[in-house]
Amino acid sequence: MARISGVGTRAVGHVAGLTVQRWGLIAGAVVLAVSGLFGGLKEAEVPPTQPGKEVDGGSWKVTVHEAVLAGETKPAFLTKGNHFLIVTATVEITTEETWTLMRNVLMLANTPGVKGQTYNLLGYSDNVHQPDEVVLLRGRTKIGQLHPGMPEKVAFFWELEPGSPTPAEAKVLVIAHEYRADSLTARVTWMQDGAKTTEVAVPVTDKRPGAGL
Amino acid sequence: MTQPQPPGFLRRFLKRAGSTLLVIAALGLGNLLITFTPDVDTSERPFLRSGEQGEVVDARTFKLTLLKTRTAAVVTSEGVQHETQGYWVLLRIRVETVGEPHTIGWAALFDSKGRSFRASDRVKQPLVDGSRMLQPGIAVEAEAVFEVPRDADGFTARFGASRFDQTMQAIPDITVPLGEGVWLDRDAVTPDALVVMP
Repeated sequence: MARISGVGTRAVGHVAGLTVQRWGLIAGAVVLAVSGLFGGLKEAEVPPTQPGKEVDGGSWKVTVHEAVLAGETKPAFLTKGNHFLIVTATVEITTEETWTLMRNVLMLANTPGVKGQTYNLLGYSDNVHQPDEVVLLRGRTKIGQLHPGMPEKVAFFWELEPGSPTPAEAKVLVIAHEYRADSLTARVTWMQDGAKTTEVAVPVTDKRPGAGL
Repeated sequence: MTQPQPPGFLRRFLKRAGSTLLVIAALGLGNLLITFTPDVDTSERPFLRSGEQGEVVDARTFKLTLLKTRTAAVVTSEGVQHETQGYWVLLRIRVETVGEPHTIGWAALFDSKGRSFRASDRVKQPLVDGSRMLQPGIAVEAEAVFEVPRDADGFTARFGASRFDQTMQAIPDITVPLGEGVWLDRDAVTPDALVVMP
């Protein structure tokens, strides 16, 4: 008993005598070991947002409403045999100037059969597509811009090729922007920030064939 | 006869302190230069040419005159009526290029809150969307159409040749004479089509 007590006393004395640097090394080793057990120090995955919730993308606020599969729906036109995946959302531009890149507001991720090239979204590795068309539901006209201070309900169209599987859920990305200096030109502008992209999981309703919206 | 020298440790201290002071002074000077040097957006800002309705404003590569201003709740274009949650501002302008052919690719209204509203793409506007090539010496008139929110007022209208880049360009900046409490034409208004003036 006295022997055990003697070892314990020496151990306590040894621990108490450790330098700050040693304590730092020990703490680092513990953090690495524990984080390694739970998948390392990678960023925790954020679960997708649900439709109906407003998402702040920096340069806009977006509320995604619904996603439908539809046939030809004016004013957009389809290649024969294809069909549309249409996502409706309310978009409010929060910058001080008209936003002219409407195809960069919402994108579609990991949906097989989407026509066209994938989009390279920085900080995001998924298979991403920009919409083919953006339509203002007020007046049903194609638009390439929205103005500040005027939130509008907008439909985003993606063309799907024949035989593509019917998705039960669309993984819609609300793209985020940050107002900062461009590292190449030093101009202060809205720069895409892929790391702050918000995913919205939207159930898809099949309304083919028909008008859709 | 030699001058008395300070002790060695003091010499070393003064030498090191002097170097540190020089570094601090250099950093301070650099900070001052950065603070008082205009950034890229300021140093390459457009050259605004102020004007009033009815006045010919010279923008070096083109001359522009604001002829008439009106507002509306609904605009008709190509047979389609376009409603808005805000209101429409229609500016009849006359443009004549100087020296060589040009397009007008950019038009925007700036309001008193510092916001800017580009010419609407809901209606066809060949004069200000860059699709109409203008020839020198041949004046062209049309109405430019803007959609603005209800709380927007105190406008100036700006026009540029390039659709994307207005840096270091001469840009007309014309006061839009809309008084307080905008009166809206409740009937659908059709914008004046583009006409070549004699």
